[in-house]
Amino acid sequence: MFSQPSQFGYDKATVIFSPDGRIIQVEYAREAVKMGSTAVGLKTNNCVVLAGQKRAFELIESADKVFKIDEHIASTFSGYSADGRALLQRARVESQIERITYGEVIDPEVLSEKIGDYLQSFTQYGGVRPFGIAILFGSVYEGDTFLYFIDPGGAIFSCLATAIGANEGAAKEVLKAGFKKTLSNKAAMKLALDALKAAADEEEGTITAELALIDTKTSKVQILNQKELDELLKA
Amino acid sequence: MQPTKNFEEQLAKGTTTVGIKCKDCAILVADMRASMGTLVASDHAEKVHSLNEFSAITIAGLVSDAQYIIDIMQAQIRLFELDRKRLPKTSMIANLVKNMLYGQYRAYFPYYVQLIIGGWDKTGPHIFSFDMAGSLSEDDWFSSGSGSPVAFGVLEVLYKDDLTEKEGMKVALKALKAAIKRDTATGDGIRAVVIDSKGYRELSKQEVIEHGGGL
Repeated sequence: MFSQPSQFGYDKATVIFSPDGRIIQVEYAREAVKMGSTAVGLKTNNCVVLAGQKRAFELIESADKVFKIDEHIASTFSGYSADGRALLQRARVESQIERITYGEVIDPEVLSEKIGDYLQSFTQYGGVRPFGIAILFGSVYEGDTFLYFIDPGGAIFSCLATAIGANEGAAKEVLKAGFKKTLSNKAAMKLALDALKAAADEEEGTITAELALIDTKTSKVQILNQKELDELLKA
Repeated sequence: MQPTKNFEEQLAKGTTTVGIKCKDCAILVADMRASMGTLVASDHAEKVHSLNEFSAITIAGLVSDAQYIIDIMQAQIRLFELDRKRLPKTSMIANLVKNMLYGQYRAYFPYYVQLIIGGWDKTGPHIFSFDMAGSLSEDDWFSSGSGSPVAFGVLEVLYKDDLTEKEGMKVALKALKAAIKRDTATGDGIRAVVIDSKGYRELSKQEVIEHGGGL
């Protein structure tokens, strides 16, 4: 009856701690994230880049991988895409609530905390399961660059560069080796794509990526598809 | 007092408050008389309240409504500062008040108040004014309360851009003193507040007199 006898049923409900202090459903959610297509993010002094690999399935047009949340915030996630879309919608609504409440665009840290709080609630109440996704928020806010990583348990990390999803370790290695805060926008975009390629473990040039660039000069999200990326990075 | 159709109007206090934006500070002044019709209910009413270290609000109208709005706003701003480890801009505070007023207006029981918010943030000094229906406008100067038509006349003539704190205080007090003279519901004393890069500061009685606020 117990597929993993060592858990003794502590993995059957999110409200239950295991005797060694773990919430095992959240750990399973992290495994779900690792099945999702890879996404990376990095912030330099001049821009924030989010990029994700668009998975291709036969006869199915691939879904979007990076998203605009508000004029100055972009997001990408890895894991269950339906969970991800639900969370993106919430992030978009929170951004608009902020505009109505204060007449100002939302601080990306505040948005991340709101989303983190929401994810946390799914680790403490019964009858629910945690979101099977990890999410990245990138933003330029008041001239500074921001990158936040939120895990399925609701923990929030501010990062210089990070990767989530399938084979994220390989992508992180590439980021670690190539990341500098002084990278040009083009170099930052190229590094993000290289990290994705490393995670894809395929011949170079075979992945299809989608990328969001937010420049400190404009503070506006710009979403680029593979074709636009090829042209931009060739020149 | 009868609970009639204009019940709130009978309760509402006559007042004059003035807000002025100067080069480096926002100034709020108000009289201290609380009237109920022809009765002077108080000669030491507080009509300028700080919302946080860098913003203040003047009140006119129904005092209970105004006090409630101030209590809620102070709590909201404290939570904002704790959550976000930063100060809200004056415009953000004004937005919160606007939403509160509009929500109540559309619930058929508007808060019976006329408010002016003054504050200082990294974008400089600001004055915002509201009406009971929840409209918001940013102004260089504004006046509210029963004596405001008198004060408006003075401000219209004397206000200039980029006044210093001293000049601005003089103009604000002149406008208020004119209202004290010509409006029976305004009088008894003056409270004056300056908000600049150093924060909220209330002037002493002596300072008010030095700035031309002697009655």
